[in-house]
Amino acid sequence: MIPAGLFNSSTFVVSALLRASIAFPLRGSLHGPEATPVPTEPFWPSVRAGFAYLRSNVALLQLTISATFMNFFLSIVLSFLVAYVVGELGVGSVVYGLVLGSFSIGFAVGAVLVGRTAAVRHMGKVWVITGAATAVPIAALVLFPGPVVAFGSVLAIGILMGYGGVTWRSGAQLIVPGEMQGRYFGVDQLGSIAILPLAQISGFFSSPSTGSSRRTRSWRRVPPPPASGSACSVRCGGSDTRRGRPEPARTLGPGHRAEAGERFLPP
Amino acid sequence: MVLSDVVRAASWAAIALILWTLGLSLPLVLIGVGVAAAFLALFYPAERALLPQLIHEEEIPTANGILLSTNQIVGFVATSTGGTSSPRSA
Repeated sequence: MIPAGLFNSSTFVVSALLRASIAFPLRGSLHGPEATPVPTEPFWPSVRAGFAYLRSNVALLQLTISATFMNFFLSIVLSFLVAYVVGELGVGSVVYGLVLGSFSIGFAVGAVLVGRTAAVRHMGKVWVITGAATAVPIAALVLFPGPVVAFGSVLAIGILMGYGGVTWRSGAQLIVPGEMQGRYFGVDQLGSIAILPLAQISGFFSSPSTGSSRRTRSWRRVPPPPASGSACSVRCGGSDTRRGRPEPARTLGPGHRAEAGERFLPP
Repeated sequence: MVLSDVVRAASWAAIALILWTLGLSLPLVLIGVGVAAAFLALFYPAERALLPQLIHEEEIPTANGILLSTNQIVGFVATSTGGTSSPRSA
């Protein structure tokens, strides 16, 4: 533990040095005034500005709320994989490691695929499809308990989460104005962190340790599909409340603009 | 982000120092981990907001994909290494 702590500490030192060495030809100098630095505000006014911006943009607000629900249900599933593997499958740490590793592999594959596809241009569809599709491998975990199914299901969950998560993050970075991104991602982070303890507690009550029957336990662990199709109809436009004028749609890449009615995925 | 990294480096160094000098002190370790986690929460929004300022818009999906996939792979390798090298795995 002591060497691990020291090694962990040293990685943060390296990270700090690398980040401190970043030369800053900020994008504002490449793309005009959109990223012009703004005066630093006190903390609470910045928090209020973040919430005000979120309320002014229905698409982002619904995205953040639905992402919170997504985090809630997936945290239950992923955090209690160990209980599933040990209690439900009755296998040991090696299988647990493989199952957990399959999520990382799947996530990495899904994340890389975003840059090679047109996911961000169709982020609304990506949001709905990946969210709804995640219910399938989760259901497979419950209906067909076994190491192979667990490996494949968690791999699929990882792919879907990686693909959807990177699409969401990229979409948000392209749509939210530069000067509001810190506030927006701060609010989003707040929602994500706030929901995790609730997920852990919910997972505790649905874990095998509660002593309910095997069949009942399994069905209780099935969360509802994490994405809501009703969210597809929202628009990604909004207004910059700090300036009091509408925020124009931002380009999503060469020759493309944000599609009205599109959504994107949570982290 | 630099401040967050520095504080987290200090937190983990302090945890290692506590374990070395005082042995396992759960309250102190929890405080150290709590401080590191608090600055992690500050780090993520800054990281997400910084990336679009450094690269062109068309590169954002690819950059995010590389960042997050690297995080996952390194996290998996590190977790596996830690798990297999811990005394209890022997």
